[in-house]
Amino acid sequence: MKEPILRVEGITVRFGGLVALKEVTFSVEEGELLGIIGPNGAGKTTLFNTITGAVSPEKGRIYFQGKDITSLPPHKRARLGIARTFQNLRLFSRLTVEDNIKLAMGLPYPAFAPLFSLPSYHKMEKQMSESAIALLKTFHLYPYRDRIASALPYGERKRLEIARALALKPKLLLLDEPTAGLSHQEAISLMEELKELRKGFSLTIILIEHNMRVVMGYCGRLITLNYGEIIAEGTPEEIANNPAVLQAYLGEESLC
Amino acid sequence: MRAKNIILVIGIPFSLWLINHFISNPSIFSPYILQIIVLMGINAILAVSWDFISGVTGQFSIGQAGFMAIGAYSSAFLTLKYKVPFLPAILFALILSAIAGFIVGIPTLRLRGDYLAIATLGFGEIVRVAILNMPSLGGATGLKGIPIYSSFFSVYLALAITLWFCLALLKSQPGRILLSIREDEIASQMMGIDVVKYKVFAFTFSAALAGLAGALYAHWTSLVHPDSFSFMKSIEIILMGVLGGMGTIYGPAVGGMLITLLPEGLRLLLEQNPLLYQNKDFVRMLFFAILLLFFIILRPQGIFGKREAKG
Repeated sequence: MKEPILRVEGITVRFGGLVALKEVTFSVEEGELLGIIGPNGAGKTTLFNTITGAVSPEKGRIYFQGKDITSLPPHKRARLGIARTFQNLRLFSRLTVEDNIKLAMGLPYPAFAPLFSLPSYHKMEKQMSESAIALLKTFHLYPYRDRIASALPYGERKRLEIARALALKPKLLLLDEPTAGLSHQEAISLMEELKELRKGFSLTIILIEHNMRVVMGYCGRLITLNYGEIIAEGTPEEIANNPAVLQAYLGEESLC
Repeated sequence: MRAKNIILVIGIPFSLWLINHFISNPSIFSPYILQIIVLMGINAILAVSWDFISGVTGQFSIGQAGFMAIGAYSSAFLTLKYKVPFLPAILFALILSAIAGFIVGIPTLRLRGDYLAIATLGFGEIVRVAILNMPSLGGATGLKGIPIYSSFFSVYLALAITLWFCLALLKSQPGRILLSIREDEIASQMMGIDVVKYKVFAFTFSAALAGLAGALYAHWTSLVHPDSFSFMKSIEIILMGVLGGMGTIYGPAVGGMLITLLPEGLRLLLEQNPLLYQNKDFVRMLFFAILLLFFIILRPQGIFGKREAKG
């Protein structure tokens, strides 16, 4: 059997007395679009933070493409190909749109190259600009390229964050509520764009989402978290009819 | 592109050399004016060094005077005691202050904002007090009779190289990365940036520049004294940076020059009034304080900073 791209084994995260994640185990196959749902405070974002390395787990291991990454610092995980977006946007707000994208491309020449205006510097900067422009065009952000990021409308900022994550050339993309705050129309068009990208970039995507129409329509498989535990896993139809999920979302009485 | 660079590399030193001949001639410019012009250049380098770490990288430092002191004393010690020529002494000062920056950089990486500022302030004071208690460095009397090797030419050439390096870094990928650390450390980590490495680099580079300014200063005034590198000096450097426009590099360079020039204009005014002249240091600090307040309230982005669009 093929090694899954991401394997999370028995992850437990504790913040003081609060258990944020408890023995969470799941794996993601390459090319999959996995949705994570659950009520507020269920540990969804903590799970992302653990996968990207911002939070270190008390127990358990994380494997990316078969490699144990549990103790790798965040920037090394990003370089391996794990990119993410944030629930409440973390753009570099005083930098231009184009620079936001270029930043994610690493340092393709020695740091002293610009000091002496070496040819490698000019060549690589040109290449970076070209791929940044290509990415901006894909996300319909090209007209904004010289504006500073904080001057963009909200929907464009959300798209810029996804474009920035893709500039890392990731294999696994973690999206934290990509459609939150967007109108239904915008949400659908964003999901359609992501569907196209998934083919183009051969991406695996995990997304946290509250918009059930998006989740049900686009995700192949769903995981439901509640109080830090996985309470259900399956296709959207299975999840929609799972009594444990309904109970978590609507409370006990709704079942009576 | 190429041709322009070659013209700059040859043209700037050559024109500085020509101006040097003209400006250093006491029959044209009085030594007093030359003194001010040279100090303007030295302070511009200092302000740029502070801007690199605080304005660009976003790590607030109140310890630049400490790095400056290390550069000044180490180079002066070599030229005074061992008759080392100027250039190797400057290189030694650069390396030593860079090492100090590296050492300060590592523990302070865990600190953010106010805590980092306090740690760098502490570092500056440690350097000053350490020098005060080292008899071989002259203790409280300082080092006297340092050979005057600095000139208009060397100071402004150093400033030109400093500006060239900082601006080249700022507009390329390393600079973008440093700016991203200022904007959002967590997000830049998630973009695969080794934040620790870049912060240490910024500290080291900034300290080396401050050390360079220190070495030039020591070999211009011919006298170094622990009081020249006090907490107030660090504050003055910050004032230069804020005034010029944080994060722009060239802004603080101009700010450094203005802050050197203004007190001289002030002195001319004060000389008219004996009472004010008696308290001239007090009046000067009051003036700086009012100037800083004025800028923070009315133009927080400094003279050259861009106004930020509200999101």
